[in-house]
Amino acid sequence: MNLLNILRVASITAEKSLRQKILYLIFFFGLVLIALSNFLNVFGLGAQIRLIKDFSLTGINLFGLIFTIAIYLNSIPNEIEQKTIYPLLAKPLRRSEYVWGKFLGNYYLIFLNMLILAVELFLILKLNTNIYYFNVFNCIFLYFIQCGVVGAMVLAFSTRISYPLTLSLTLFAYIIGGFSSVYIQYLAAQPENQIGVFIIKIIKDIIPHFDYFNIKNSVVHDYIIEPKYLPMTAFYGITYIWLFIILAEMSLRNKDL
Amino acid sequence: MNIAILTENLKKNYKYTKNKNILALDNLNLEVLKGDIFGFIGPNGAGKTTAIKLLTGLIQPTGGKAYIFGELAGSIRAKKNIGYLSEIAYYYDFMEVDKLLHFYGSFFGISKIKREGRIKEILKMVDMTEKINSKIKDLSKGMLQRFGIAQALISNPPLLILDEPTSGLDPIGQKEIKDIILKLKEMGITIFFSSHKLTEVEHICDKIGIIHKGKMLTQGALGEFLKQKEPFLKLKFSFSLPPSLEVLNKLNLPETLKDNLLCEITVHQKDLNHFIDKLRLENAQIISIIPEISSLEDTFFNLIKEGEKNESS
Repeated sequence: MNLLNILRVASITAEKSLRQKILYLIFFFGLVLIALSNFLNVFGLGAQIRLIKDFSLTGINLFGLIFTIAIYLNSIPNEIEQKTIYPLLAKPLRRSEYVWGKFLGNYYLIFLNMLILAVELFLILKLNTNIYYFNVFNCIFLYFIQCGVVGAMVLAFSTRISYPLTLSLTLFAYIIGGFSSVYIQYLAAQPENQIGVFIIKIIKDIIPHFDYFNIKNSVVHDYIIEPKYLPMTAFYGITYIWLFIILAEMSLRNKDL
Repeated sequence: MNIAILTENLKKNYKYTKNKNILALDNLNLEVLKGDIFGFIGPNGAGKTTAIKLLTGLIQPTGGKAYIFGELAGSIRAKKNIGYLSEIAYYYDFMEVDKLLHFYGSFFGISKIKREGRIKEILKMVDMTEKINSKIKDLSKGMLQRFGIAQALISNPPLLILDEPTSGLDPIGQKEIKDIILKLKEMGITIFFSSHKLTEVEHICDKIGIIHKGKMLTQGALGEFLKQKEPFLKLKFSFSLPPSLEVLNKLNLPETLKDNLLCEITVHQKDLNHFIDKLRLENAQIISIIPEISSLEDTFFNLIKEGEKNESS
């Protein structure tokens, strides 16, 4: 694979995606939501800070995911439909390079989106308490990795199946993958749900455990996070990203354009 | 390697459902030599675009193989030797002409400085130097097609594959594109282009291939298809006075020519001298004698008809 080719495709992908007005809207809503959290003052300063963190981190996660799905959902199908992929793939460019370029170009925009939201939250917390809450970055970093996993998954689905089905499958995978292990154990303890729980367990074993990327509660309550947890979870996420990109690549490799 | 394009029993079958298959290309054997201008002609839906997409690696063959300068079609090495223009222009319309040409050129590993020189050169060749900073979305259809040729030429490829390059253009646009192709021909670039406009092919190509319903009906040098319709000649002559019925009968001419001063008839070569003698006796003046040439159109329609007859029988 030629890294320069990947970067070339990534750069034009980012440039193209920046023309989607819907992304600005999602970003703007995220920005406003975090700004609004500053006015959540119900139970005094300690509780307010927890509330700001909780509310804002939930917002960053939610809008990050919406942004991710919106940016990846039509990224490759649009190029196939508009046939801008023709002159590109007729050049000395491998389809694998094209897929990686598409992924990285959009991931770069997700990075910028989350970075701005993260800095906004960080500044709000600093202005309210005069304390630097660096731990919010840990949580947002894992959300960022999670967005990569979701994005790669959308990319893999979207190269083969229709847009509504891609959306449904992604949401299904995210919800099942987001079930915490404790919740699965609780379900397993219910005798009437055995078949359903068995199916969910199997699916959950295959798809990424999205609950691993959510350390919001620890960050909100300032619990100490094991130093190994962050790199291990990031590695876990990157492995899934890689697997989904390989899947996207395989499905595009033999696709007739 | 003297062969630019070679296909061996190339086959493409589109499978839509379990019971719906479309055989778009059926054992296509094609040979295009270096320096040839090869016209790939056929009616709509004949399989021209499918063949081109297979050559450029945009689709995968169901069977057979295709080679570009000895490299497997679709491989990176093969793509390095190709400039491709699709039937309809599909480019990133938010970009400027020079930026997009830089972008496409970068995949060939051409340095930025060399690309700059090359961009100026090809924009001059396709006569759109003044559009260098225009956005793609602001270009007219004819301009867009010229841009398409420019992007295909960015790497100075030895082979150009053009899919219906004049499709959808007005007569002026068609002429401009034809002139550009002729310019490229003079430069010695091998050109493989599909079309269903026979006059265009007649003007530009050295060799042609006729495809119908996925099958190659014939291929060869254009001259072979335009050979004399042996042994007939078109004879044009005039009378100083309108011919009478008696004169017409003597010359074995139809009575409908009565009162016509200028006549044109087709005669067999072996009868020509005898007929001219007779005309002289009647004081007729010979204006021209032209051998009857079968046009590409004749060949094309005969082959298509024949193909359809064979299919129905």
